[in-house]
Amino acid sequence: MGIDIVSNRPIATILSEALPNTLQLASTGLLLALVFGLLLGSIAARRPGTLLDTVLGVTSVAFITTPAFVVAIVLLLVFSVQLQWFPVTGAGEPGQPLDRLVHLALPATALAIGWVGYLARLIRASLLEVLSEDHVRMMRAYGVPERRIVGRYAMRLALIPVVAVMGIGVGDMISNAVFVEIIFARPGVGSLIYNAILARNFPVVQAGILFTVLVYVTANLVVEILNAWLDPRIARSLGPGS
Amino acid sequence: MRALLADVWASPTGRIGMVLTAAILLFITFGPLVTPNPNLLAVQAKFLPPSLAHPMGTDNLGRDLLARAAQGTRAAVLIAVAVVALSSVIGALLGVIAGLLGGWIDRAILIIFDIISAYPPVILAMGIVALYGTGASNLLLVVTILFLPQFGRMARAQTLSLRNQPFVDAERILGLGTARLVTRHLLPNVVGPLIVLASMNVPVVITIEAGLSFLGLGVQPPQASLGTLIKDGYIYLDQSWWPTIGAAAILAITTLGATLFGEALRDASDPKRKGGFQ
Amino acid sequence: MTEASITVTDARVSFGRVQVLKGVSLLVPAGTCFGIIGESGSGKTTLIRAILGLQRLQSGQILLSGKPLQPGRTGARLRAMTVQAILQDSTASLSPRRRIGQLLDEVSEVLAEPKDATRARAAALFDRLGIPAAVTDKYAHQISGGQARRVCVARALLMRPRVLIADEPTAGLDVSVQGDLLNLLQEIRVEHNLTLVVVSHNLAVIRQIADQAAVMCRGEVAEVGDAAQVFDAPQSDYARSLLAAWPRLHKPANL
Ligand SMILES: Nc1ncnc2c1ncn2[C@@H]1O[C@H](COP(=O)(O)OP(=O)(O)OP(=O)(O)O)[C@@H](O)[C@H]1O
Ligand SMILES: [Mg+2]
Repeated sequence: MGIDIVSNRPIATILSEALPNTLQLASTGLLLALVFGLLLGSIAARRPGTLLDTVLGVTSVAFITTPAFVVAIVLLLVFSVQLQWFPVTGAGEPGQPLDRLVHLALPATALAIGWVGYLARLIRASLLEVLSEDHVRMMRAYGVPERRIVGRYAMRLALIPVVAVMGIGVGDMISNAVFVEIIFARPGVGSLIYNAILARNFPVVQAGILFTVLVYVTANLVVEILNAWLDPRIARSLGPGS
Repeated sequence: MRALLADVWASPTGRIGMVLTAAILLFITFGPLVTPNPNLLAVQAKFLPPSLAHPMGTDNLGRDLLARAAQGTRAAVLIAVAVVALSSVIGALLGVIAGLLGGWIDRAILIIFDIISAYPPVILAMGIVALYGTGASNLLLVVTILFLPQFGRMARAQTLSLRNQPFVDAERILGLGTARLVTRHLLPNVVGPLIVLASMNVPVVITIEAGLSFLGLGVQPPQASLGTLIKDGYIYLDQSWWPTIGAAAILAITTLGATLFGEALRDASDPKRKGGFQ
Repeated sequence: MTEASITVTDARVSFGRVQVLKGVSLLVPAGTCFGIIGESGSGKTTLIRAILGLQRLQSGQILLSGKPLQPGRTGARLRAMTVQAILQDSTASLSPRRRIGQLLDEVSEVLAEPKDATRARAAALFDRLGIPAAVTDKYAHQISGGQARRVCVARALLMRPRVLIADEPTAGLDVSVQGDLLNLLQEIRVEHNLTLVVVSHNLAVIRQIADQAAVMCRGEVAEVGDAAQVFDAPQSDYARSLLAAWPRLHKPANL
């Protein structure tokens, strides 16, 4: 990819130093989103129409509609500047997992919030759909406990649409990582591209964008394969005759 | 239309959305009229906390933040509406043509859409802005391009389902040309769902505009937009957090209200729920 | 009488790997009523769509009044002024977002005729077809299936075509209305020296109205000839078995 004229180092090296930081951030964000999205979504789906359901619904929309960079600023202001619970900037010392984790907490939360809301709504909707199907009613009639229906059976089906949107999720994480990395002054691909744009260092901008698109396209491919593999198998294993 | 709004009002979340949206609309319509000049400098009165004279405080140059918020929100909403209008019209045209004509034209248009959506949105926007420069008009163009695939794919899918409808054959048999067929018989059937999608995208565009302006890649000072307000505040976060939080809160309220309203509108116009057209 | 109105020569059409028309040849004489019968899926509608230029042929040729179909805008207009058709599903073949009146106005556009003149002719036709004048202000989903069928007939006739093709013109109508519509089509055909092509499952309809008839079977013409001969002395095995399923029709005198 050539040599960066500003730092006089190979662009490939610069990128490969930045990438792990961004990948850690994005994957932690996605993981947080999955865990809390599933949790909130299944809570809401178990009590459709109640006040709790409505509150969770509006909260989810608020999570979705509040931009990640706003969340990042608020988190920074409250937990780093005011309360001083978390460090303000950086990604932590390399080779010190605990320090890195502490530095990851707020940025990853900022990334995750929007997708917590989105996944909560998605899970709620698909759980409700699965739970209203005939064979679920039959399982209920046979006295299978509700917890087991939701946990063992319905959740597996409800996860199919979640896998399907993971590709978009990766794209969103990469996009929003730009803001989060800048606000928390974390080294990463996003802040690398941004700083290169400000410095009008176009070779680095180009390489950074190319790199990001490669990651994004690869992630989408993996998701697609996963989806194709998951869908018919689950459908078959639950179909008639089993 | 009235029945539609009544349906929106009937749902609890729709009602919240309608109230918030109405409040924001009032704010951007009358706010700039009743607030002081948003660009009036008063350096000795910088970083004032909220007071009767300055309900949202003042910024680093002593400018009234409520006035700047009114101006900024107006800019954000206008840009978003312009983007969505442009993007939906161009996207719909491309989508209808692709769906109707098929063949290599269809494939070419789909490839364009695929290329656009092969980039994470903000990354693509950053790339284009890096190449062609910052500013409101470039921002408009970039975000319009970003949203083309969504509208285009939807219009194409709609057209594909319409294309084999007998009435399309009937118009052809009558000798009607393609242009009239598209404008008179296909587009009107695509418009309904397209408007819903467009209204749901307004808050998304507001978010993206704010993000790019926050990065300094969109609306440029001294013009205010929600993104630049947050950015200006963010720079002086260590001296005062009012400017940032105020603008961020208005941004959050705007997008939340517009989204709740848009979703209620979508549900109210869902043919599966209502049966038939309109 | 012997001049050919529609000539189809060895027409072939496939959808994917399935061949739906396997070399169809037909000759429809001008000024006659030509009936096409055949079981569901035998390719009748596909053949008609090909004649109307809505379905590209894989191979073969279709001539209208001895001339091949012209591609492009002028060709389409010319064809529209020569052939008109009533499709199988009438309600669905009226554009849902336009009023019936607006759909009729399109005729004046295509013909480059003043709107008032078209409207006047439409009013006369509506009267004759028994369509209430109020229908012009309505949308397709607001009128009955029988009204929609007759509106389609009116719209087609407003174009003053030389050939009128009707795909299942009587389907879904009650028996008395069926008879009225057929009689009317027949009258108009004689008046204007129209060529009428009628496709139907209903053998009684074809028998009543057609001078000549073709029997289609799995994408091929199994038999074609004078209607009386096709019905009373079918040559092909397929036509015989098709007609055997209609004993009352085949031997009306004996029952
Ligand atoms: N657009 C298409 N794509 C794929 N297959 C088609 C298409 N149109 C028609 N076919 C197939 O072609 C065959 C003939 O269809 P066609 O509509 O011509 O039959 P038909 O004789 O008019 O039947 P019916 O009496 O039921 O109207 C059918 O098997 C049908 O499934
Ligand atoms: Mg048919």
